[in-house]
Amino acid sequence: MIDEDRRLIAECLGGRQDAFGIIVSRYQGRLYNSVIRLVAHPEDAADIVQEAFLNAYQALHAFKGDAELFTWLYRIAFNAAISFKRKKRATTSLGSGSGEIGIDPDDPSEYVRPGSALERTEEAAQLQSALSRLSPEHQQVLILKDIEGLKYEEIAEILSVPIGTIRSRLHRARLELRQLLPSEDESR
Amino acid sequence: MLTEAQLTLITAAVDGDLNDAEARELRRLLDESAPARTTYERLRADSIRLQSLPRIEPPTDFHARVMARIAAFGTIPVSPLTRPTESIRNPGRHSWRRWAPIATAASVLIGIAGTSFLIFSAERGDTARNPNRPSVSGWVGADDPRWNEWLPVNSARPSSAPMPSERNEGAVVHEAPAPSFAPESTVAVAPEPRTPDHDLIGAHPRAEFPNFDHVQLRLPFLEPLADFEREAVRQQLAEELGRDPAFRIDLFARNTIRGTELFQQAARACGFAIHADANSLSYLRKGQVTSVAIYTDSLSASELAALFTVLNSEDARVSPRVFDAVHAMPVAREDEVEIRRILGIDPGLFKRAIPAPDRRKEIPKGTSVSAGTADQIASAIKAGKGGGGSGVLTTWAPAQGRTLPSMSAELKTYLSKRGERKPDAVPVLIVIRHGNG
Repeated sequence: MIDEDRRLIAECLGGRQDAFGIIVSRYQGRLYNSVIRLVAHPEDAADIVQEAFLNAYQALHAFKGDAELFTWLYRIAFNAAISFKRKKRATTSLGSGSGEIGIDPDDPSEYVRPGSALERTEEAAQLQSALSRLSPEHQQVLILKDIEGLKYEEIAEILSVPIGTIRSRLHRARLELRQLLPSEDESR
Repeated sequence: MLTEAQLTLITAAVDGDLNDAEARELRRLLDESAPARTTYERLRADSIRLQSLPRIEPPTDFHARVMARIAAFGTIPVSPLTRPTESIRNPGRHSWRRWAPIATAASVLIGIAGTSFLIFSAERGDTARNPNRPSVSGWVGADDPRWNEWLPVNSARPSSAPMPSERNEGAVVHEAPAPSFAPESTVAVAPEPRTPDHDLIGAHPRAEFPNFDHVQLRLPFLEPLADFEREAVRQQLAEELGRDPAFRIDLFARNTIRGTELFQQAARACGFAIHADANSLSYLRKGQVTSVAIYTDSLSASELAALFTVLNSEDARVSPRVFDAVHAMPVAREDEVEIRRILGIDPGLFKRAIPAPDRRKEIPKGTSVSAGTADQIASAIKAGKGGGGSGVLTTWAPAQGRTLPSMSAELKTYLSKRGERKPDAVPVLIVIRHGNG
């Protein structure tokens, strides 16, 4: 575990709530970005991540520190998101641009390019729509592997399944996603 | 039709999860099977698209909301919680935790209030032990005439201020001044504000502002491509490109694919060879590339201005026009790093044969840049008065979709033919990208 996280957890357990505030600041962006891809709704994602942080805070004394803090937080948030989806069942699609705030540029020298963040919005909406139609297990592995760039071991830790299962899920998820996305001719 | 084993091999390759033997097997499969190649390319492209999805940030007040919930919850419980989620879903279960501090504070407040009440009640009761004090029932305050009997001669009546709790008969009463209101003239007046002392030690140093005789501002070049039909704009770009060793030029297009095609046409018209990376063009056509980069260091400032003039004429032939603005800025450190990544080498952007100010004098006025139609300019460049250079075209964004320098045959060709840079050549990174409109 990162030393900084270990120190912050110790301070939290010592009664310093602001130390937990630093943990929230550090991981809220990653968690929110993953969860919104799962539930496809900004407000639901905010509620789920908020609940996940509160759960984590309450159970912080039970965190053993044998895994990374962020994998533990992911596990809590993903479990909350899956429970939420089971309850809700109704799939909502990410409105075009409604949740596209604070887009990180791929371009390293974004500062020279005023107002071009929306150039991939349509493609992003199309991809999000396809992603939303996958099963939750397939969504999770694709989000964690491609969007979050995590390793097999970390994904296995978060989802509490063996690495072999992650491999096979990824395989099936990629093929399923391919079927849901338009072919080349349509995408032109 | 691909077998399950072949599909597994392909998806593992997309995940970068192949050992050497599997990688060889995949290569053989891709060489022999067209469906395998197509599937591999599509799955890889999907993965790149997922990686390129814009990051969505939480609401701006998200952190505050979480911390408000945390604050309401209180400190972390010491005893282990076996099922932490239940306590959140049922807030009433631990509601006493939130109310305990408030209840304690309320109890203390009530205690203080009660004690004060008892003390003051006791003081009221003391009047019965003082025979000189007027009875409470007949009180008329300081105007009570009976004060004259109880106080020594010439002593003042008590003011209407709160009555002392004890007044012993034998006590010496000092002559207190008669209660009177202070005249207006004696009301304390606040002193005048101190004049600020600028010589105070520790005061913030204030820089003396120099008197400027002449101020020159340098703004980045930003003009519509359509304006390149004007001599002044062409000359302006040529002069701008002479001011720094290397430049980045952003070319905003309404359609990146069409913009790239037009740029290639303009380059061909000028005899400027563009080595376009095949993978980048393929991904561009599939809509998986959002912007492309052209790097060249074989054109002079005036030749570059001429190239944009020809590009403008190509753009004017289509309706609606594809290009919008041209934005030129000196290459920044970040751009330099990206150029190195794209090329796989350090092109030596800042190696200069001739200092920038001298180069500006070399721009021939009234020649290819400032005179003639676009066709004449293109012909002049083609005829050898300039041009003949080469550049490479590859993916700019998303960065994950770029072809590795070692994997691009076109890039290798460009680098092998690049040769020595001309003394007046300006290294430029031209980025064709989507505009705002």
